[in-house]
Amino acid sequence: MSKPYALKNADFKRQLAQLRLLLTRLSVPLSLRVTLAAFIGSVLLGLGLIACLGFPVSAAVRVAVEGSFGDARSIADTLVFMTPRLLVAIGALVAIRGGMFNLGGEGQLQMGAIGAMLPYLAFGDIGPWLLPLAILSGALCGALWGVIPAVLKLWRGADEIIVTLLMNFIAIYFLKYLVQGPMRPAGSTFNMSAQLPHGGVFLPLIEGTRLHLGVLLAVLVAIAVWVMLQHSAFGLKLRASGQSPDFVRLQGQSASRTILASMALSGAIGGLAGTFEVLGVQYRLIEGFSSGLGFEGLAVAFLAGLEPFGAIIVSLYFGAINNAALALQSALSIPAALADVLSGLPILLLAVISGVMLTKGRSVWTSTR
Amino acid sequence: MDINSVTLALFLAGGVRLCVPVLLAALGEVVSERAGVLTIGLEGLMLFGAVASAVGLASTGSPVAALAIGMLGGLLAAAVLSLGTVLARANQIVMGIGFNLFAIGVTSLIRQLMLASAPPAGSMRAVTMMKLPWLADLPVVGRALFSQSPVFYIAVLLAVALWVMLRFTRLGLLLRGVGENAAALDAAGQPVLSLRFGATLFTGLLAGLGGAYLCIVASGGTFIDNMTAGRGYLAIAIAIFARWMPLRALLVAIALGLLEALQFQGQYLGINIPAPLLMATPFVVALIAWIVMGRGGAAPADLGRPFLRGEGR
Repeated sequence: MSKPYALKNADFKRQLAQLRLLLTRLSVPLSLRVTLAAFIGSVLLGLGLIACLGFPVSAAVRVAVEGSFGDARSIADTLVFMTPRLLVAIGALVAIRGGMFNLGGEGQLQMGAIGAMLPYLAFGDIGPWLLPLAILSGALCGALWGVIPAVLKLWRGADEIIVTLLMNFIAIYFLKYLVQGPMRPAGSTFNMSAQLPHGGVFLPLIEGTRLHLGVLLAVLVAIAVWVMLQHSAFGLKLRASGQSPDFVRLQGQSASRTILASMALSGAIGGLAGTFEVLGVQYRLIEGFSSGLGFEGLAVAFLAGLEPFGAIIVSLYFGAINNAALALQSALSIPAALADVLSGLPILLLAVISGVMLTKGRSVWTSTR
Repeated sequence: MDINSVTLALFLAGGVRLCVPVLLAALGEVVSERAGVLTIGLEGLMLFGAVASAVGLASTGSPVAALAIGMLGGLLAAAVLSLGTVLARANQIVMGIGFNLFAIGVTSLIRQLMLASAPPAGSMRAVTMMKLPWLADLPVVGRALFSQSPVFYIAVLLAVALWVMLRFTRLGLLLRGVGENAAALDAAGQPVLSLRFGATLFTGLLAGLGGAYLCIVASGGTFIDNMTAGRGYLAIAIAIFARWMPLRALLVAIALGLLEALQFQGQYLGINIPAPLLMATPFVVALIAWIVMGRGGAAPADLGRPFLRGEGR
């Protein structure tokens, strides 16, 4: 940074006054305002895109709002779309807050989905035990997939960014292999596993909607992670090792245990995203069920500024966008790929805005790297 | 030639054919990372190149023009990406992840709005096969290396040219300098942002050509949603694993291409592994190699750090 000039007293006082002014004006935190700007900007850009493609904008807005929040069914669908994105985001932010750039949400989600099937394939229909076992097994598989990059980092110094990115694709192809071979029922020609028995899945909570227990569990996980981060010794250690690994090391604390634990937890939560997709939406393992949910979840985590409650709100937006895109496709035949555009845009805008703010000396991005 | 050497030649040729898109993207990534920019958006750049080439083929009917338009598509996409990562100093990883999501959406939208279900009929021979005089007649390697798409020869020449450029030229020195210590270069009066912007544009050009190859040469002009299927991420791994050296990237890419080719020729070679597992092997091998070799090496010191005057180390 700049050289340590001696501050004149008057200068110092003026700076303090400016700082106080800045703080009082920002009753809404700066990063929140920036995030809002990014969202509003991207929705406007999306509407502009719809207009440019020659579709009626006002009708599109009406269809989108009704399609995502119009009645109980569409609200339930929005929440169902929200769930995997929220869980991946929570998983990612646990690791990133701890200083591990876990970009492996997609792979952990795939392993979680595989894990959800294992108890049924191993024990058959064993009644009420099947569901909790499936959740446990899904979380464990995700955790295992999450611990591998942590071990490789500690043991070989392998950078976790590349390892987690590569492991995503290994998991995707592994799931493909399973549903094309070992898990495909004999005589079937579809690339999917057998269906889980009705006692072993999340049945709809409200008749006529797709709302399932996993939605509530996902929000509970988000709240639990917030409590863990803010109000527990482990959370403090986690945040400390993310913000200042040297500090943790100089304190004589073991950084490696925190890294392992945070990646296990991160992987487990990412795994639950896949588990809940199997248990609450698909009822079976099926090729291509994810379509990049893991990467969207990462975008959610970044957009939320790595805050659990922020992730709930942002993933709700993502769920609504995906649900609205389906409504727009069926009502006005606007291609549903619009959803991916609108998921990518806010994070591009946010990254650019926060970069520009950085150049003006105001950092809105709390980076752990 | 007996049947075994034919099989072997086909297998080698298949591996070389498969490595081209990843090789081009990896060479692009080498350049931008040497200049200090971690281009996670490589996957998206390839997708833009692929869809641009499909549009180019539909509108011109010429596969050569389609490849050129694919490069242009990659270039334009890279301009958007580097507006964020270089000029606006956005976080390169965050921007890359967002850009890839955005690219999947936009390219799929373009496909649905601008492309017919089938590519225009016409010969792709101009871009799929070019036999080099007398070299192509050599046993085994003639078929494997010298009866390839002209894009492959371009990629090999590029790898050599980039090696020369990075090692022996003033521009190469400047690019490496901007990746090692941007602040020092800035103090010496060199245009840091322009160099990084240019490097990323070049990455877009190569990734665009890689995507265009995937669409025009490898799948006959048909664009499929998300057709890169992780090749961009694989190329990033190759660039880093090759220690940012173009010639090593060439070798690594061909080796991984051979692994992928096992899914087509493996049965004749007596190897019978299900296709999805073989598709995963380049990723597994890249991972294992990554672990065995450790990080070490000389990573550009300023890799991933946006340059901001007065924020030197």
